[in-house]
Amino acid sequence: MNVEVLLEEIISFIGIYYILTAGLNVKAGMTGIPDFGHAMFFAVGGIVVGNLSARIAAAAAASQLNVSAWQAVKMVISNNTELMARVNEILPHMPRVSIVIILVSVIAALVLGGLLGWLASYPALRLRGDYLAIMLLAASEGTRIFAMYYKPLMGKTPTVGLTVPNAFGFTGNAGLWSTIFILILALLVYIYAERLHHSPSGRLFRAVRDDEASAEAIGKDIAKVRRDAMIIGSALAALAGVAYSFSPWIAGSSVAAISIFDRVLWTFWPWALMILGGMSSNKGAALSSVILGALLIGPIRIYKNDIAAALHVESLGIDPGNFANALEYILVAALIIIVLFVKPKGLIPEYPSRTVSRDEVKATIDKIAREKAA
Amino acid sequence: MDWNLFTSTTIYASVLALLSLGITLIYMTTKVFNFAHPRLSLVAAYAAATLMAYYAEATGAQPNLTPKESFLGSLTVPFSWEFYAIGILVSMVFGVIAALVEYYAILKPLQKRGADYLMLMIATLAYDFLLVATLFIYNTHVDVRKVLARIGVLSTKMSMASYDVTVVTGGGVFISGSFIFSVILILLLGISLYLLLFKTTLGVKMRASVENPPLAEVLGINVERVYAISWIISGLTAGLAGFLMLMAAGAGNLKPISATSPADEIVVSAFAGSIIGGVNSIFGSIAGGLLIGYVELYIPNWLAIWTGNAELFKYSKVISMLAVAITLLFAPEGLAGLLKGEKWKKLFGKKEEEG
Repeated sequence: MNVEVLLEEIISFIGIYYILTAGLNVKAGMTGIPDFGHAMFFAVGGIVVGNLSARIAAAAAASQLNVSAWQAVKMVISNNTELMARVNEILPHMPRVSIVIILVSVIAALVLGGLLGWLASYPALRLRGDYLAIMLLAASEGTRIFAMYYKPLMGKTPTVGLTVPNAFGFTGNAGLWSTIFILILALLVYIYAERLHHSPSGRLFRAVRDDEASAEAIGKDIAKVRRDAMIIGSALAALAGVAYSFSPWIAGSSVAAISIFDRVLWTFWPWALMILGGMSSNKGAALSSVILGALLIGPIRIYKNDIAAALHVESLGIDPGNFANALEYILVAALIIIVLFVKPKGLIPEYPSRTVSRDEVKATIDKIAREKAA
Repeated sequence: MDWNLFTSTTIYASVLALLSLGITLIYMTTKVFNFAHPRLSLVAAYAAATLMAYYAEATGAQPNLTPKESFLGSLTVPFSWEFYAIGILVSMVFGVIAALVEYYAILKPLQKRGADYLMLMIATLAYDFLLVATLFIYNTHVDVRKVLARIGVLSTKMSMASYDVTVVTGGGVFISGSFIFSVILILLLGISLYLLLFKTTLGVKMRASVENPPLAEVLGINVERVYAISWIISGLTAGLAGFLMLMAAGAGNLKPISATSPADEIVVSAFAGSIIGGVNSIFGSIAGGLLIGYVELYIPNWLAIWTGNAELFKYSKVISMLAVAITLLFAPEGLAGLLKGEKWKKLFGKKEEEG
């Protein structure tokens, strides 16, 4: 296997899962909202790219396809595969449109993801604990069924889905540049999450998680805090969805309802990563994404057949191909169980936030006092 | 009335009721939503199918699909009755084993270490993954494939629906064995659970341990044993649900059995049944599961006929999701809370006294 492709695949995988886990960390780790419907917010990113951005691409390419822009936009759903195949041939020659598509996708995903998070915060304000977890899981499943069969959203067949506009085609090496794009997004999210962790609002999130009554007693608006956490976390999940959709290594060339709503891949895995790294620990989320990315994509995906061969599973009558697939599940499950037993706080337990030093506080107080005196 | 729709819906609803009951029992005692619960049924179904196939091979039995005349009408019994008895027994045993392993190997040690509800939920997910992996390896194993192929069952898309006992009455009404089995099962289960919980000392102990574990312990009740019993009942019902899934694959939203299907599709419906029943009410969960089963198939059916748009049938699962949302947001006590009359309270409520 090509080493370059492997590296790009690993980095894309790490980036997507880190963004997704960081979003979950804001909701579940920091604020204590047990979101078992994270895949729903992730899917928003996929829908934005497959549906909205594809329409922009089709409208931009319409003049070269000898159809009106409006017709092209309508054909995105009715005649997706054929139209997008032709649009994707034209798009690499339109670098400006491509960049606009990428930017619009990112912004639209953040906005729509946040909006859906805001809507989902309605139950999050009323329910607590495991009831809320089941509620969000049910919401995610409900939207999945809806998206699978509602044709104007995700195309005619839920397994085929919509073709992704080839927005990185103009660079000449879509694989490499989409990886760089994901890496940049992941780094930005890391910086943001780290700042959020140390910021007063991050401390407020954790205060609400640890003791709602006390936080309310000192005059904090619990409803607003939980809503903010839902909005931020969901917007980040939608961003991960955009990163996923543009990655030719992870998503392939199309987004399908059946894969972007997958609750094992996009809800349970981020949960596993968050538990592994440490709840409410941003560095932990990054570390566990790296570990799982390096472990799963690297050794397991490439060497799984070799592992199966080395263990001589066929001599036991076991199908090597399926054994190799089962290895992924076993690895994740074993990892979760071991972490829960050995290190329930995760690899990097929640760390205290950096606060302003005493000297600085004193200096500020003195400064205000001096200003008042003057 | 569409008779075939009614029978297949009844089977589906019974499966959901069995699963909801198990989920509720575990939630009441262990305080965790068991995500692995529907997978226990698949484990049981695979065990049952394999041993049934071995039995058929050992006795050299071939499926006999020619109907016999009986007083009911033309009766088809493809295999001997022992064949089905083995299936029921094995599925129950393996359901219990899979449930007890989950409790004793993972959840109980974690609870002892003071894990919170989230950790336990994630642990049940991890156990679910382990079972999926096991089934992935198991259902493509050469021997399993061979022995199941002997009776014409595909190991990765398992269905024994064609070997179900069937009766076609003189009036041309088609009745399947799994329909009768599921109806009897639910009735028996309801009656025996009622007797167990309200007419025996064990039942009093169980209810006491659910209400107030520390107090029950002080009064000399072995709470640990009560929890173990509830896990056994839970595994038992999951196993029976697995047997129904096997014999009635295709009924309602039940797909043929593989490592992931139909557990992945119906897990949320089963949770919906449990929640609509009020989460803390055993009889509520049976009622909730049945309700979800019927509603999930009948409402889209009516809508499809009414609007003339058959596409609507695909959205059937959305209804159970909506039901969960509405119940949790507006009536968190579920069916158990709605039926607050004195007579009903005895059956459905959780805080009544003995007698």
